[in-house]
Amino acid sequence: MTKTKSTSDAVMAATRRQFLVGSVAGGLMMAFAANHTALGAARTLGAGAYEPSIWFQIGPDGRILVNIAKAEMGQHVGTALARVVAEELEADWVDIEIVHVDSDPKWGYMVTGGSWSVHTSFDQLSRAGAAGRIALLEAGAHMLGVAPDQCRARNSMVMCGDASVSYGEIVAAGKIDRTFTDKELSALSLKPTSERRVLGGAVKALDIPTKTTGAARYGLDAQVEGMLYARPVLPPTRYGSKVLSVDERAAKAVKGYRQTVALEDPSGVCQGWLAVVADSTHAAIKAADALKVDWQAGPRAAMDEAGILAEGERLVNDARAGALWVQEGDVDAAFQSADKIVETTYRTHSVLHFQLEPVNALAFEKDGHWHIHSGNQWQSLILPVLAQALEVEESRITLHQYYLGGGFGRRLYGDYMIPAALTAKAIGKPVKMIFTRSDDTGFDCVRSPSVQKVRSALDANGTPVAYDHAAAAGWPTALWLWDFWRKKWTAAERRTAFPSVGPTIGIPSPINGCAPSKIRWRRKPFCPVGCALWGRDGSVGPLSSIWMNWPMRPGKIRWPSGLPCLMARAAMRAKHQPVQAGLCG
Amino acid sequence: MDAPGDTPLLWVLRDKLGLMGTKFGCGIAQCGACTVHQDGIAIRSCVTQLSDLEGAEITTIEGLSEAGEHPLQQAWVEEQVPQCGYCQSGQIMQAAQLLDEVKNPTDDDIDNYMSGNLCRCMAYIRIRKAIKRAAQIQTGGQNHD
Repeated sequence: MTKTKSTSDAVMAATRRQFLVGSVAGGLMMAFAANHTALGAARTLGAGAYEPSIWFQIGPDGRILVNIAKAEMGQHVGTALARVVAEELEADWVDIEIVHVDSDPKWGYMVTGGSWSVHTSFDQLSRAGAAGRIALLEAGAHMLGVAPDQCRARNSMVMCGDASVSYGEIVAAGKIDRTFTDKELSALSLKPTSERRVLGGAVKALDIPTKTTGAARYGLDAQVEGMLYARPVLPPTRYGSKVLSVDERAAKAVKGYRQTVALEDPSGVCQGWLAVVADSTHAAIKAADALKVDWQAGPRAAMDEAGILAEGERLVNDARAGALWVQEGDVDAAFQSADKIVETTYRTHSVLHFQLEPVNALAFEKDGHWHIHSGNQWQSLILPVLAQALEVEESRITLHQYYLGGGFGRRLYGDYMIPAALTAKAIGKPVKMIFTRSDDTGFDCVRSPSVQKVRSALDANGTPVAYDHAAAAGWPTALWLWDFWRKKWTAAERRTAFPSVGPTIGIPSPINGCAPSKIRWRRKPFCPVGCALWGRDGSVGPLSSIWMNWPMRPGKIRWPSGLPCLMARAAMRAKHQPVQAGLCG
Repeated sequence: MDAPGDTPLLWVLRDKLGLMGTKFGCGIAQCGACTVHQDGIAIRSCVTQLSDLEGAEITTIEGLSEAGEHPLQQAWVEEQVPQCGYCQSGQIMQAAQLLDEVKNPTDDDIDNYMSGNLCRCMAYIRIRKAIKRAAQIQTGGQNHD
């Protein structure tokens, strides 16, 4: 009983969070922390005993540094998040600086994608900014010798009549020690839209100046003393390839060539890979081209795009294949009694990301800790895989973030760090691995080909009464979110997930949810490569099976506006205006 | 320079000289991310071998201005051109040659000069605006808008 109670207390404590504002080492730190200390804000922050994060800090010079745990890949996310803080903090925008942080666990779960960054952070960052403002205002009022309610904060100043004191001066005085409970934070009233001064107007993105001078640093630009250069040599199939023999003779003639490493990967990402190590990128590229390798290809060597689409075609026309996602009402009866049926098959092909910066990573071990420098969108996804590949604890790996020369979802998957890390481990030296454009293309996680057969049943008035959508495609999120897919979905959850992203993107989220209500639906998603792992109850098979069965790289698929296209076609057939309400592309 | 003569200028700049502003995109002169100036002319450094550059004067993005105050760089900030920014060193170096040759470029001039520089984020509209603005800054005059 005691054990149960303490466990439950720990869980409660972790879910109760407080916000600390405290003077530390000449500056002011502001951070969320678990509710576990009676030391006060300043001592807790100073001791580093806070839990998740230092969200921002103000120096005695008034500079405000906002830590950004999201990846910058062209969306200016640091600027966006810093603006949210600045708004409620009543900071002067010119005082703001941002820094993109590494993968320290204190930042919490790290992923950047899906257009989530701002709307999932907005409330938290706003309240953090507001709490910071209140603490500064109270301290500033004290310095001015007046009551806080006689003061207001504006442009990094606390003002009372003609008197004012700057945030920098307040911070330099070093006397802030303020804790906001979760309840107090929730109770803070945020500014109405009409009073916003930072948000909603034009602002220059903070990352842009260095992107015009060549000073911005991308993963490709990462360097460390004594590093060697490497290029991967990719096997003929994604899975199951084995190296039979390697002929290094021509590679050895390349000046600067050092060695070729056969990568042993406990995580299973790199199967039959080699890495060519050299003194320069040029030598690594050239020597890899000169290397002669014999492989035994994996079992999917003969599979191609046309074959995948043909299998998709077969599946969408087989009423017994696949698994049913949503069914409401008697769809077959509705089709049988329909006045008209509109039917279309849509096909999409593999699509490469083709981000302009080929994937790359610099990896090295120092004092028993792994450092991996790269641009990445989903640190929390790849850390456990890296730990498995390197056979170390996750706590002994830090991912150092850089600007991304394009993300587009490719860098959600940090698999490109694995061969770099394994090469560094094999040779015991820092390795900068660069994929050439062709390597990058061969190792992309393409958007899956898909075949989708969509039918609408119209009544005598031309009103759609039933809808049937059979889709066959690769299933990337079975890999990414496999435990998520293990759960049993309720009918309501399936309905919510259905119209926009469905089971493919894997997020049954109100973000994208929109539920046309007047039509009875059904839909059948499949895996076209023969892994019938998705049971009809909505559960999925083991990760490794999907991983091994999929001949290509895991990648997103897009339901190619099949639903809106079909509805528009159906409406036009029926001489109605295309349906507007509730349809998402 | 301690590098084999067949080393592309790109890798000499990056690996040997530590000048990281010039980027690697394709390695076959198809994307323009590696654009630098050889004696004032925009070239693709990924396919230009060191042995062909004896006596040549090379200018990279780092050398275009002292502190990012070239009219193009000013205009790039004013028009908020870069998104991911990876192609922008090459875009700016290519545009710099355009402005050297055509003081007041039209849309067609810009398309002709810039079409070999790819931007995966599709910043082309802002690139065009920024080039015109830079021309204005440079000449202090009117442009074609």
